[in-house]
Order: sequence, then C-alpha cells, then structure tokens
Amino acid sequence: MTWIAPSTIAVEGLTKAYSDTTGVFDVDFQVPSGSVMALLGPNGAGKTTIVRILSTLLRPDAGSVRIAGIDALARPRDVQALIGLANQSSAIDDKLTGNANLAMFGRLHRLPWSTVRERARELLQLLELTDAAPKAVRTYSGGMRRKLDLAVSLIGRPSILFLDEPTTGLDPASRQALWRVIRRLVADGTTVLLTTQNLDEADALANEIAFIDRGKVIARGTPAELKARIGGRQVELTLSSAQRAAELATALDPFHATAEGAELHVAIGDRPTELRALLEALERSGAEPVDYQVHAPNLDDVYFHLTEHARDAAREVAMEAEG
Amino acid sequence: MSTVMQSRGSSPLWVLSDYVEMIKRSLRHIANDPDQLVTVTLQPILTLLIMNFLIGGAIQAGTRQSYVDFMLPGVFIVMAGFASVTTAISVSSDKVQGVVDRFRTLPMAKSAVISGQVISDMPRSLIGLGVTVGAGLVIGFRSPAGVGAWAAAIGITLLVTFALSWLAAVIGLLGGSVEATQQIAGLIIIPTFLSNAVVPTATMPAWLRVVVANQPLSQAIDCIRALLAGTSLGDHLWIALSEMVAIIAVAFVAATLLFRRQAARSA
Repeated sequence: MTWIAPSTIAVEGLTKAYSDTTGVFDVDFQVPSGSVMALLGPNGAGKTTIVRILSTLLRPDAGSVRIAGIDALARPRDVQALIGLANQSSAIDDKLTGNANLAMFGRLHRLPWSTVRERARELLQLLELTDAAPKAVRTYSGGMRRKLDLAVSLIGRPSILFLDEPTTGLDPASRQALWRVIRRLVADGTTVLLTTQNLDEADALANEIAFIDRGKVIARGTPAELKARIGGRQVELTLSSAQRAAELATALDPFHATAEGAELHVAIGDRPTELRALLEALERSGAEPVDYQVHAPNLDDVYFHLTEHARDAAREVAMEAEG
Repeated sequence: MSTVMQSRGSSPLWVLSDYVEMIKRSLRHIANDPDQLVTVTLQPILTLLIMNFLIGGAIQAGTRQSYVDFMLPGVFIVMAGFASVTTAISVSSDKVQGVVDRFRTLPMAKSAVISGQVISDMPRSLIGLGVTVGAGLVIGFRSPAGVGAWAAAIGITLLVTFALSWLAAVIGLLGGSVEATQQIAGLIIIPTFLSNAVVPTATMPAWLRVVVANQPLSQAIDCIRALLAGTSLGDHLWIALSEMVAIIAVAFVAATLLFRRQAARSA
C-alpha cells in the first residue's frame, strides 16, 4: 500500500464532454500537499469545469478524482468536509450581514457554535472585514464581497481550497491583499488549486502551472519553466522601412528575430546580459530603429506560442502520415 | 491555522440544525426585505378593498352570503398564490448567484436547502393570514366558527401555501434567469383566480363551471368557506386534502431531482 500525503489532489483521465470541442478531455495532474497549482488558460478552456468536478459540483463522464486520498466521486460528502470553494460569482447571501453569512455557513459545516464564532472573528481580522461584518452584504463594494466570499470559503478551515478566478475584476490593491491572504494560507499548510487568466497571478502564487486550452492540458511546469519555453522578454524594434527590418533580422542572426512589416520582434532571455548582447549586436549592425518596446511575455504570448507548437506538431504528424 | 481534520457531527441532530439554519435564513430575508413584507401586508389589504368595494357590488347578486363573508376565504388562497411568486424568485436568485452551488459543496443535508425555504413560507403566510382576517373584520367580515373550525381553516390554507411553494421552488430551479422565473411563477396566480375564490361559479357557463368548481384550489376554498360559515363540509375536505398531498408529493420529487440534476447540467 502506498502512503498518500494528507492533502493532495490527484486527477486522472478526467473527461467531461459537452460537445466534440467543448469540455474537458483526459486531464491528469497532481497537487502535492501544501502547494499551489494554477490552471491557466483563456475563457472557455475548461478551467471552471475542472474546478466544479473537483469540488463535487459536477460528475465527470470518465476519470478519477482523489482528494486527500478520498475518492471524490464515490464519497463526495467526506470530501466536502475538507474543501473550500470560492467561485467567480460571490456566492454569499447579500440580504444577510457579513456576520450572519459566516455564522450560517459555519453551522452548515456542522461546526459547534464556539468554533464558528472564534473562526469568524479570526477570518474577519485576517481579511480586514471586522468593521463591515455587522452590515448587510448588499452595501459592500466588489472587493469586500470577494473577501467575504473567501472568508465564507475558509470557515470550515479547509485543507484544500479551490479558487476560481479569485481576483478577476478586483483593483490592484485588493488583488495584492488577496494574494497576501492566499500566501499566508499556503504557509499554514493549505493546498490551493486556482484558476486564472493572468500569468502574473499564476507566477506570483503558483508552484506549478497547468496550461489549459480547449479542455486539455497543453503544457505543465513551474512558472520559470513555462516562461523559459516562451523566451524571457519580447523586444520590439520599429525600423524606418520593411526592407530595413528584413536586413536587420538577417544581421541579428544568432537572436531569434522575425520581421513583420517595419517591425522586428526579438525574443531574448530573462537575464539583463542578454539585453546588453542584443544592444551590442544592434550597434554593430549600424541600424537605427525609430522606436522600441521591451515587455515580459503575457498570457497572449504563452497562448500563441503554445498553440503554435500544437499546430506545428499536428502538421508534422499529418505530413508523416502522408509521406 | 492548522489543517488538522475536524471531527464533524453526522447525527440526526445535525440534520435538524441544517434545517434550523436554512429556516432562520429565510426568516431573516423576510425581516430584511421590504418587498416580502409588502406581499404579506399591503397586498391582502388592497386585494380585499378592491374586491369588496370596487367589484363586490356587481358580484353580490350571485352569492347567498354577504360578499365579504364569501370572498375572504378565497383571498386566503389568492394570497398564497402571490406569496409563492416570492418563493420562486428566492430559489432562482440563489441558483443564479451561485449560492445553491455553495450549499451543494457543504457537508450538510442537501434536502434542507429547498425545504427550509418552503417551510419558512409558513410563518410568513401566517402573518399574511392575520392581516387578511384583521382587514376583513374591519370591512364587515363575520364568522360563527369556533376555535376548532378556525384552526382547520388555517391548516388547510397553510397546506395550500405549502403545495404552491413547492411548485414555485420547482419553477425557481427550472428558470434560467430571475426575470424569466418571475414571469413563469406569475402563472401560479392564474389558477387562484380561475377558481371560486372571488366569484361564485353559479353564473358561469356549464363547461367552465365543471372545470373551475372542481380544480384543487376551488375544493380547498370550499372547505375553508364551509368551515368559516359553519356549514357542512361534504366531500370537499377529503378531495382537497388528497389533491394537495398529491401536488406536494409530485413537486417535492421534481424539486429534489432538479436540485441534484444541476450537477450534470451546468458547465
């Protein structure tokens, strides 16, 4: 018998098809105890479907889900005692006060009154909601609602927390505040599975990222590994003409440079020395760009890079079949 | 915070606690939500006044009793119809906002979610009944009924309210948006008027009279009317009771299945 860590998520062959192209297809991943996994991907990629299956809301067509070693499909009730879920929509009762929400959901977690009271006080403090707690939720701002929603998700002191796009629609300050709370939970041993469309968020929080596209995991790795696959920085140079751009692309041969009209895209690594090398090569070529931009790869870059890879692979397979 | 697994209760007492929490929630909604208070206070008063003074004079001709004595038991049931629309809206907005999903991820008795809502409609309709009877007495309603007959009349009214609330819960779980649910739930009000609630059936064409006089709500109204007027119940009681129980059973099963089916449907 193999020993299973107390708070792990293990997903195998997970499939839930809504049509040929929408749904989740044969998804595998594991989240070690006390770590953060981010499911990263565009809208409609299947991230929410995965979270709904893992949190016992949805039954898959095929595959297995083990939460802390428990078969979530066979024993959902036992899993429900261990998990917390914060959805995209703030699933709290806005006709009640913050206090009443925490009390109700705590009792529905079947915790004794004393525990509920103590924990509610703790969470309100952690999320800086103590002053707002006696007020009706409908008077809350979006950020406060999101924080209370998280507090309600934590009232059962879950060892495994699912966060479905936790910071979508939040201002930068609220986003940072929420990240701090999530980091603190993880430091205390909580295992977190979160979905996001934002690479920065995955980068800031996750130990591992699974890139989801059209219901499949198309790439997996640590944030550093994933970013390395795309190239650390994108440099865009604007030349005076398309011809100059094409000439420069040839002159910058050791770099991966592609000309598009009068614009030149160069992918370089994360280290500042690589930028210096590019600038030196630029100096030697004698070209005089009229404008430039440097940016870190964003979700678009990851997405286009990975889907291009997928397309290339598909093309190779097709050619091999023909040849 | 530790992640040590808590021991959680699974005894029947916790099931009771789940129900208590869900009922408390709905009762707080009534107290905090002005719309619901209007439904149970202003609405019966206005309905009584309009029926009695605006339309009553014209209908008077067909009734043997004074019109207010005839109409008041009917208004009990019309009010139950109005109240059920609120129930459908509550269930629907819980579903749309994701609150139902949160309940479904809790280690609680899932049956308490919809049942709690329906059960807490009972105290709300008792408030409504009190207001209706009070306003009725002011405009001349009189009844020779004793405590037992009153208790039976109130019991039947609550049974009808319970049945309509379950139907409303089914509509709330079916509807896609809160607005659509409100429209569909409004249809529950039609059979409360397409009954003998506020008009005697004697003046209707024979084909319509057969339908209207025999539909379940009319049977229940006949019971309440007979109890409060101190006349014979006849077969109405058994017919009304069995029909209401049948509606509750069907709607309960439908609501339970719909609540579970959400799992397979939603993306």
